[in-house]
Amino acid sequence: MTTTQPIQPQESANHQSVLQTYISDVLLNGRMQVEADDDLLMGEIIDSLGMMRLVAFVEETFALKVPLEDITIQHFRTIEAIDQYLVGRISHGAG
Amino acid sequence: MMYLLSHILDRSAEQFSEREAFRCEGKRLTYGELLQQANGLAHTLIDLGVQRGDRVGIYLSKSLESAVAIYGIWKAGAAYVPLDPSAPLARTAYTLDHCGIRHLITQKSKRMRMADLLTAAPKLSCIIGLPESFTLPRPVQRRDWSNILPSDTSPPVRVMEQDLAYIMYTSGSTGTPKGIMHTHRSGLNYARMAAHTYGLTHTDRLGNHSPLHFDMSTLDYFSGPLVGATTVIIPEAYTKMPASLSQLAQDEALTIWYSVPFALIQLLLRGVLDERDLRSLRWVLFGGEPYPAKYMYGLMERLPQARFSNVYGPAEINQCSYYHVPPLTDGRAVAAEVAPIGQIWANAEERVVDDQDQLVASGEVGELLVRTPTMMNGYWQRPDLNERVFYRTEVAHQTAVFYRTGDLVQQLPDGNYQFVGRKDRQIKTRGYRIELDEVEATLVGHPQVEEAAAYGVPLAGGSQQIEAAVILKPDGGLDEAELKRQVAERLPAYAVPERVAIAPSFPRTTSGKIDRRTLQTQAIARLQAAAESREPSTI
Repeated sequence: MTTTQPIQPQESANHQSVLQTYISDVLLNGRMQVEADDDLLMGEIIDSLGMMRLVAFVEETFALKVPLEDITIQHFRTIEAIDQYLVGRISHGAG
Repeated sequence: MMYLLSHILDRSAEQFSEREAFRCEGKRLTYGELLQQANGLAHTLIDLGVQRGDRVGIYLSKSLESAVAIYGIWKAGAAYVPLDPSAPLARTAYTLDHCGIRHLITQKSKRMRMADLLTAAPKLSCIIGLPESFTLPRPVQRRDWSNILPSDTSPPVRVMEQDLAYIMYTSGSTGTPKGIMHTHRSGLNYARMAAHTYGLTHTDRLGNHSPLHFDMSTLDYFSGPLVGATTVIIPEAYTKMPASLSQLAQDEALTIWYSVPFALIQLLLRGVLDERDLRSLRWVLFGGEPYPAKYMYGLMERLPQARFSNVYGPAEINQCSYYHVPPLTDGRAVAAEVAPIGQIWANAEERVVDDQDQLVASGEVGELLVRTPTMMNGYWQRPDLNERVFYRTEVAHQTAVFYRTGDLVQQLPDGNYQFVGRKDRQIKTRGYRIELDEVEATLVGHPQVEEAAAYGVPLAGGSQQIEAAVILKPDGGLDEAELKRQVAERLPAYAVPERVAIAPSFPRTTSGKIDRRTLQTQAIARLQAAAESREPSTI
């Protein structure tokens, strides 16, 4: 797995582009470029193993723990939704 | 009267007109509504030129339209061919062409893909389910869902029980998928036997976890409606999110669950079951690959009211055996690493044979041959394969036809069979069958690849991942990412190797063959070392 320096929480504008790059280049092997509002769970994009890798990437990159009850369709359907989730977590103090 | 799969709906609509037949994301279809919509679709298909025995493709996300499509296609006298919407374009185009599909049923969300498919599959001449306003690359007949009017009258029956009802494509060892043909007779026999074996009734609520192109879905689409039960179609998104999936199982009060073990392992590990009430679940059916005992017993502890059964049978025969796992009692030791595949079910005959097709002694390992009224007709337009997989022998002066499962089994002292491995190089990952020969053929199909070896590597949480190694032709400047990207254009995502090592040479056996076992052993060691160096998972 690629190791990246944890991104500072306040740089929330970066969340989307970091996620876009990881999903497009690593999870999809460059097969397609995902957009922030693409449905990641529709079948063509990420499978269940890919979703586990994405959650691990989010935890490592943004230095927070995503509890199981938060790994839901609501929070992970799109890059925008993940971003909103991260913003919510960070404003309530991540860790 | 019931001798066709479509009669299932006719009868249930008569008996249970107001009951919910299918549900999906808050939308519902009663049996009465489903019958009217299936009739309407059948009339439309016939108007558009569908003939008896035609193959009609289904290219849909999991939705209520799937149920309308299946029953509508049958009522038009055709067979349905479920296509995986996430499969690469080239693979879908191959299936459409090989099966001679002219009519395809789809939905608006697939419109971008439809344009590509029309270019890649020249036999396709009619699209059902796309708005007229959407521009396509060439002129075809088309009808939108909104133009298909419900009808109280069923078209006249034009098929018999030996006519084809559906064809499911699965991995083939030569690099192209093969189509498993089932008739109304084999499908209906399966629907009845499964409903009987698991005691399904009209009060049951089945969770449809499997996609339509996966043979496990037939329990949800055939057996559920046979008894007037409600089938809850679980959208793809939920199958990837265990916490959302367990919430859906609770909200929908599911009583019957049927999936691959992988989904159940995810539910146990990540489904926050402590916060869910799943007491309505009365029977958990699993199959498709081995379910490690520690995860199975782990889930049984969480769902003490539910029965657990291992369901066995390649798609070619639907199902042929089951094993009801004994209830957990305190202090009970785990008997085996994985549950047996059980006893062969009613109306079927099994033989366990050696390489010369001679019966092995009881308790010896051999290949399982089965004949059952739920068996396929053969592979679509593949007489060569049919010759290989059917074993014919004389019984009481008549020819008995057995299917060679390719599975090696051993009978236990209590009469149950235990799966011990494969005779060929087929592996299972999350229930999907993958012929390693097909993966290798696809890799070697790349102009810069000289030789390829693919192998399965077992993973800690059950299941396994595919890895491969290749030797490039001299001057081949290919890298791993590029090769994987190109392979992904031909193979479904679950069959694309997780890792493709570009190697200068391969380990060889004394006869010069690629020593895949050594490559596999090296991969297992590498994964173990990686797991040990990682910090203990907090999940």
